[in-house]
Amino acid sequence: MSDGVERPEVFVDISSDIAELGLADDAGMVDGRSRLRSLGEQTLLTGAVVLVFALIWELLSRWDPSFWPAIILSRPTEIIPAFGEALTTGFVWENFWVTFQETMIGFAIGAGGGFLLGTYVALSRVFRKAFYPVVVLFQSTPRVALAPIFISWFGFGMTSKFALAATICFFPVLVNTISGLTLIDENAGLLMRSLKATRWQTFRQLRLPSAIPTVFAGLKAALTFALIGAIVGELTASNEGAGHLIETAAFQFRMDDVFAYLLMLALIGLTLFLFAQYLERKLVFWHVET
Amino acid sequence: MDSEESRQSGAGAALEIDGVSHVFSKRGDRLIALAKVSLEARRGEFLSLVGPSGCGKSTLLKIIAGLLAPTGGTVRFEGTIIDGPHDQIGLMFQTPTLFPWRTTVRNITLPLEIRQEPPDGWDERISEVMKLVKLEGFEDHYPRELSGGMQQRVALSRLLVSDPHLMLLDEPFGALDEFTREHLNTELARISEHTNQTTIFVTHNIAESVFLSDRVAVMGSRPGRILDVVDVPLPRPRTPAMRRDRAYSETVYQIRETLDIA
Repeated sequence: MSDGVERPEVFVDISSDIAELGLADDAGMVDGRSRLRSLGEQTLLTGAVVLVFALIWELLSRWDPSFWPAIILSRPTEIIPAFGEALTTGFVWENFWVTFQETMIGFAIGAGGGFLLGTYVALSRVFRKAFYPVVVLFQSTPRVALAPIFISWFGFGMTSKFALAATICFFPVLVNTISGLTLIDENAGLLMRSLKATRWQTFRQLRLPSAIPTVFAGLKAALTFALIGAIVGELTASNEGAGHLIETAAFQFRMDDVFAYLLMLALIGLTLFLFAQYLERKLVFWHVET
Repeated sequence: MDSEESRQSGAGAALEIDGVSHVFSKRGDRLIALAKVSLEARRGEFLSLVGPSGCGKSTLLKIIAGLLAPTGGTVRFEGTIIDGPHDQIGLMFQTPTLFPWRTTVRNITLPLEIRQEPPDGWDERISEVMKLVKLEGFEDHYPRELSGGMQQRVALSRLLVSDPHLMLLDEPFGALDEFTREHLNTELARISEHTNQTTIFVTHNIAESVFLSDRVAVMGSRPGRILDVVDVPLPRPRTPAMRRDRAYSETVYQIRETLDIA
């Protein structure tokens, strides 16, 4: 299906990489028991790598403290108590809750809008040709650069943050929806035509189900992007949220807190991703990785 | 589509291909895929199109299916000029083209769902077809849980369930290993003798075309054309033992000779 228009790059699924990282449970076709054992081994191995890395970090900072001052890089033994303290502080939770809301609202608007517009674009031939160059243009613009504009439009509060998150995660879903709905198996298309299927039947029975794996890859990318958008918005200008906490702590040279917050963000990002992956498994159970 | 004179045809011929040509043009280059091909298939006949790649056999099949408009000539099916997909014409491809999110049964019912046929008689038809194609016990399997041969059985069932008058098979077993292919050919011979539908079978495998067909149309390439139409002097029902028959070998030899000379 060549339209003579350059296609923007599709966001590929990174879950196979995640599987190699040992975070997924079906890295291979193995029976239940050995899968469980290999999952245990992988977790153990990952834990060991993290531990060794932290140990080297700790030893280096103690070996030459003047080269590794605490105001630049905290030690693991300082970060872990800071992390524990952050987890038990209501104030920290309130700020992370703000970031989480910004992320989820931004994701819902951006991904929802991307899917709807993508569906419309994919189904309308004329619109697709007219629209693609615009998508390519936006695709190559670093959208986090819009942060100052959104701050001036929507103010310091949450609105500017979820607007930025929505803008960033709109595109992967849009692009993947278009390509998922457009690039269908040629023979399957011929089969539907030979059965005289209506446009709606072809959409419902063939295009939509075959697009779901591609759409999901876009959704997973978008989820991470939404979090990035919220944080970048907060770093640009805000008076609440995780990004605000990080900036304040860094400004006061409280590096142990900065790293503790980063660790929390990483865990939130990972949780969101694993949740999306779980949903995908349930919905796209029939999909075979190629 | 030029001639529109008589919509009724001569007796016996289910399918009449009359001077069909097809030219693909791409950026000024013209490729003659089919040059004035004429051929008839009798009602209930099993007719193979055999030839090397690029001889236009798959293009001809798409034209018969009404999925491609020929640049010249006409195709008549049961007296009607084909100008689009037809309810009584069914297709099967080299790839199973099953929907991976549907179980065996749900893949088979696809044509019935698309045509919105009343679901009263579905169960009987499905179990009848599954028995004929020997798929019983695999009703709730997903395509990925089936072997390539089994997947093609599902594809064949999906074709048979709507009981088309004309079946178009485009190298249906071309992607399978030799033993599975032979086995499925024996099965297909049995099924086609049972249903007695008119069948057009496209292949580049001479032996399989002889084993299955009543007649074999031998095609040559550049441009795609029919070199010869060969009668297969084997009785029905076809049995695996006929692959050692003298008449079988001689027909294979004759077709190979035609292809070599061209």
